[in-house]
Amino acid sequence: MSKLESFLKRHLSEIRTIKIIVASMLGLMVLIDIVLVTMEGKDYPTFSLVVKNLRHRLIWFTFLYGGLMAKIFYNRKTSDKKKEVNGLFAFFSLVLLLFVGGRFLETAPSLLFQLVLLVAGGIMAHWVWPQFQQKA
Amino acid sequence: MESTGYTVVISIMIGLTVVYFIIEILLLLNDVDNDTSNILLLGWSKGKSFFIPFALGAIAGHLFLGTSNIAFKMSNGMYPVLIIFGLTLIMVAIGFKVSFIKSKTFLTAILLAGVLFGHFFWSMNYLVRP
Repeated sequence: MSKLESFLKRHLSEIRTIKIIVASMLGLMVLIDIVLVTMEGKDYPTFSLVVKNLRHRLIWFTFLYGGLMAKIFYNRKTSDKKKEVNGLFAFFSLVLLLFVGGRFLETAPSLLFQLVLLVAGGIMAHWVWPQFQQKA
Repeated sequence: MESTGYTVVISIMIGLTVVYFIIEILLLLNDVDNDTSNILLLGWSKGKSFFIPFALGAIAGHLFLGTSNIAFKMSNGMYPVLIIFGLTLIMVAIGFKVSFIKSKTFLTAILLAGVLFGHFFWSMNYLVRP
C-alpha cells in the first residue's frame, strides 16, 4: 500500500470526519474575513475588498464561482468517469483562458458582463462537467 | 501601489484555495464515495441547512454584482451582514424545527433571493452622489 493510500485510509475514510473537515474549512474562511473586518482601516483589506478592487483581473473567479454553484445545485450525473475528468479539464481550460484574458483588462467589468460570466460558468459546468457516480 | 496588508490578505486567499483544492483531490482519491464538498453541500442544503444557497447567493451578489443605486444603501454598512446572520439563524431554526422536502425549485428560489439581496442591499458599488 502506498503512503498516500494508507494516509487516506487512516484519516479520510469516515464520512463524519470528512464532513467536519469540509465544514470547518468553510467556517475558517468566514472567520478570517470577520477578523479582517475588525482590522479594517489598519491597512488590511477584507476578502470582499480585494475582489472588488481586482474584479477585472478576477473575471475567471466570477466564472468559477458560477460553475461551482451549478456543481452544487444543478449537478448532472454520469456513470463514465472519463466524462467527469474531461469535463473538469474543459471547464478549467476556460477558467485559465479567462485568467489570461483578465490580465489584459484595464477597467472593472460591467455589471452585465459579470452576470453573464456567473450564468455562463453555471451553464458550462452543468453542460460539460458531469459528476461521476457509480451505478447502484 | 499595493500595501503589505494587501499582499498578506491575497496570500491568505491563495493559501486557502490551495488547501481547499488539496482536500478536494484527497476526497476524490479516497475510497468513500460521494464525499466531495459539492455533494456534501447539496446534502446539507436539502437537509436542515437550507440557508446555504441563500448565503452562497448573497456572497455571489456581493462579490460579483452589486447595484450602484444609492436608494438601496442602508444607513450602516454592517446592517446587511447582520441581516444575513439573522436570516441564517431563522432559517437554521426553521430547518431544525420543521422538516419538509426542499425541492430544486425551492433551493433555486432561496439562491436567487440570496443573489438579489447581495446585489441590492449588500453592494460594494454604491456611488456617493456629488
